[in-house]
Amino acid sequence: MADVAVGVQAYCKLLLHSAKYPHCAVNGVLLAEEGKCKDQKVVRFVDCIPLFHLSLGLAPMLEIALLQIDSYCKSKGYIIAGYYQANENIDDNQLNHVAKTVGKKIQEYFSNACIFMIDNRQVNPDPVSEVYRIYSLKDTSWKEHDKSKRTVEEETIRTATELLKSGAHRKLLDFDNHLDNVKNDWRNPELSDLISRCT
Amino acid sequence: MAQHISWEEARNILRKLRDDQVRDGDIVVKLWEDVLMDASHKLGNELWSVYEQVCVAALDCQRLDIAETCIEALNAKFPNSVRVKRLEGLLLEAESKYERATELYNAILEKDDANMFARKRLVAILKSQKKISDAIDKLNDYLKKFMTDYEAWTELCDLYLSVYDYSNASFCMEELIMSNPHNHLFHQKYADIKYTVGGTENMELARTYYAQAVKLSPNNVRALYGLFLSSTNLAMSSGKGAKDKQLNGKYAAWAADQIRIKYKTQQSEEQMRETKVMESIEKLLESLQAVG
Repeated sequence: MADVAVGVQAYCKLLLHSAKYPHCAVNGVLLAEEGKCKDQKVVRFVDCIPLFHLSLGLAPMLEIALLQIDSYCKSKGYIIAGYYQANENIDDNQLNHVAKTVGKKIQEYFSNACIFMIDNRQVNPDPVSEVYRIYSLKDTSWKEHDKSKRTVEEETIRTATELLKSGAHRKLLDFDNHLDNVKNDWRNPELSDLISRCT
Repeated sequence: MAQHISWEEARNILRKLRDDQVRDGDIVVKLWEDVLMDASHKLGNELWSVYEQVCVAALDCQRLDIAETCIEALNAKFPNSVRVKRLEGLLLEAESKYERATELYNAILEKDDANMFARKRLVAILKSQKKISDAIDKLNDYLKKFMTDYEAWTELCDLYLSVYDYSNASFCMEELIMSNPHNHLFHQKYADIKYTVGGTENMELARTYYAQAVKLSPNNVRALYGLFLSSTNLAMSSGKGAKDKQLNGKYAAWAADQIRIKYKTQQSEEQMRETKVMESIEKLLESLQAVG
C-alpha cells in the first residue's frame, strides 16, 4: 500500500463539501499530479472536485462528470486518483456499494487509487482526528490504511477549521450546482484562492 | 458576519426563510443568538413562529441547549399543543432516544390517526436506525392511506435506491409521473434510474423520458446530458440496424448542440476553455461517426 499525502486544497474542499450539505450524502473525486506518481511510494492528492449531493446511486450524471473532469485533468497534467464519500446518516461511515463501484473504476486507471470515507462526526470546528478513513484495493477487497499514519500537516487541519468557522462552505460549488446552472464552476477558483490565502 | 445585521434585517431574513421553507439551520441559529435573542420581546406574536423555526434549526446543528429553551417557552404558552409535541419528538430523535420518540409519536396517533407528521417521523426513526427494509414497509403502509403525498413517494424511491432495488424505485417514479405528468424532474429521475439499470430496452426508455423532460423544460441540463448519453449509447450498441443507429446519432448531435448553446450563453470563455467541457462531448460524438 502506498503512503498517502493530502494537500490543503483537497482536504479543505472535501471537508467543506460535507459541511455544506450536512443532511445529504456527498461525494467527489481527488486529483493527483500525473508525472509525480511514477515512483509509486507516496500518492499526493493535490486537489479535489466535489461531485454530488442529490443522488449518489445513479449512473448518468456521474458518467458526464467523470467525462468532463477527465478531459480537464488531461489538459492540466492531473489524474483522477481517489474518491471520497460521506454517507447520509451521521453515524454511517461504511464503505458501501456505490463507493466500491466508483473506487474500482478509478482503480482500473490508477492502481494506487484510494477511497476516503468521511467520518461525519469529525466535520466540525474541533476535530479530534483527520476527517476520513482511507481504503485501498488489495487483491479483491478494500483494506483500511493504518490509522496512525498522518496524511495531512497540522497546518492543513488548522486552515480547514478556520475556513469552516468563517462559513467558507457556502462558497463551495459541486457538480450538482453546475448542472443546476452551468455558470457554477466545479473547479471552485474563488474558493481555491481563499484557501491559498489562508495558508 | 451576523454582527453587521440589524434587528429588523434579521427578523426579515428569518421570515423569508420560513416562507420559502429553506433549510439552513446554521444561519437561523446565528441570527437568533447574535441579533434577535436579546430583544425577542419585540417580535410580538411572531415570537412563537420564530421559536419553532429556531428549535428545528438548532436540532439540525446539534445545538440541543437552544432547542430545549425554545420548547420550554412554547410549552408554557401552549400547554398540550400537538405542534409543540412534534418538536419534543424531534429533540428526542436528535438525542438518539428513539424508543421514547416512538412512544410520543404513537401517542399523537392514538388521538389523531391522520397525523401525517407523526407517521412520517416513525419512518424517519427507522431510517436513522438503519432499519431500511422496516422503513420501506412502514412508508408503503403510509402511502396506502395517503396516496397523493408526492414527497413521500420521492422518499420511498430514494429508500429503494439506497438498497439498489431499481425496479421498485422505478415504480415510485411511475406513480409520481402519473399524478404529476408535467413535472420534468420526475421524468428525468425515471430516466436516470432506467439508464442506471442499462440494457437496450431500458436505454430506449431512458431516452424517451429524457426527451419528454427536455420538452417540458428546455433548461433542464441533466435531461439534455441524459438525452445525449442515452442516444450515444444506443447509436453505438451492436444490436441495432443502420437506420436506427443513424437516428440515434442525430438525436445525440441535437442534444450536444443544445448543451453547447447553454454553455456558450452562460459560461465565460475562460471557463469553457479551461474545463474542456465541449471537447469531452465532441470526442464522444466523433467516436460515434467512426462507428456509424
